[in-house]
Amino acid sequence: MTETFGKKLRDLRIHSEIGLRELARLIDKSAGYLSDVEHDHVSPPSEDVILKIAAALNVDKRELLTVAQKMDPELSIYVAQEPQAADFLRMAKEKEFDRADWERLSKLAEAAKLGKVGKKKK
Amino acid sequence: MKVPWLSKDTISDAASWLRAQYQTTTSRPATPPIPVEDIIERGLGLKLGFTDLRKKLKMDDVLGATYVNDKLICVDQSLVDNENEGRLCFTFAHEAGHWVLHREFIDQPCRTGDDAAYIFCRIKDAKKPVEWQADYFASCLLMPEKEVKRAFTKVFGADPLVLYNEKSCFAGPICFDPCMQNWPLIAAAVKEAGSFSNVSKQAMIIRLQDLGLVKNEVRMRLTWEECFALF
Repeated sequence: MTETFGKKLRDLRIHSEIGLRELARLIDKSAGYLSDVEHDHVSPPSEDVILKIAAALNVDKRELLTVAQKMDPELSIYVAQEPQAADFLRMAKEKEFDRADWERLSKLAEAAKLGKVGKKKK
Repeated sequence: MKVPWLSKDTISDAASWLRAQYQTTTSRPATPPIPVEDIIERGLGLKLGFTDLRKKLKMDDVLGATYVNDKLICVDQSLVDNENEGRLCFTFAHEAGHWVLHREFIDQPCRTGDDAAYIFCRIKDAKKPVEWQADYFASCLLMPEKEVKRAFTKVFGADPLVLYNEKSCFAGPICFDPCMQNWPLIAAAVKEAGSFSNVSKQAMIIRLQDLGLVKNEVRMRLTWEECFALF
């Protein structure tokens, strides 16, 4: 059985030693709403709320976004601003890239030193 | 639900056990204010929930419910909305009491359905043995005897306060006059001295009487006429 967003959130919250009411206060939501989310009585919250939760619990936002099947808002903006990135992702979807393909691609991008970050100016 | 008779000592021991177990499991102190939500979640490994129980169970005076099969303790949303910390935490502790003391006594046939095996707590049932036991457990869990006695002694000394009068004999704040009218002041002072911030004054009053620290002898009081006759 796949892990639900509610269960993941509860596990992370307990691990962070933060109470349900305390977390609700930190993300400016009601305890009742957060309880419904943890028990999967409602859909996972919006991306913005997930980011607030991740910050409050001091956990990697990707953990929550992945299980909620939501995209990091920063990535959405990036893809929207780079049409070729969107085309590339569409191609990857059509060709059904799997995890191994993405890992290989990441290594290739690293080897080719693509991107600006990390390059030293001479 | 029928439950066996339990002595006050047995219930008090069960509450002490739970605090000790929480300390062992989490390496955190279980000192006032007793972290009852954390005790439920990390000490007992149960889920906590806030929901509109009144609507769900179609009962207008329900405060909390313990779902045995789901390992879930739920309190009514209204308790959170009203921001009454004392009442909310007492309900948590009360439901924890049902889990510790009564989960074995839920009728076996009820355990078949997911939602069937639960204990719900209504205001009108407060005098039933099962509810009284859970109330007493909550009182012992949130207000440990040793800590209450220490706080009481800090404020009022080692001897119990004996209340003979309903109303204070003093018109102004000349000195503290232990009487029924000053119950809230007595409870507030002990709460403050012992850091019982998640306990209501009402619950503290009951606990102080139960521990024999405050004795209500108002029934023995003299009438004003009798009092004046003494002088």
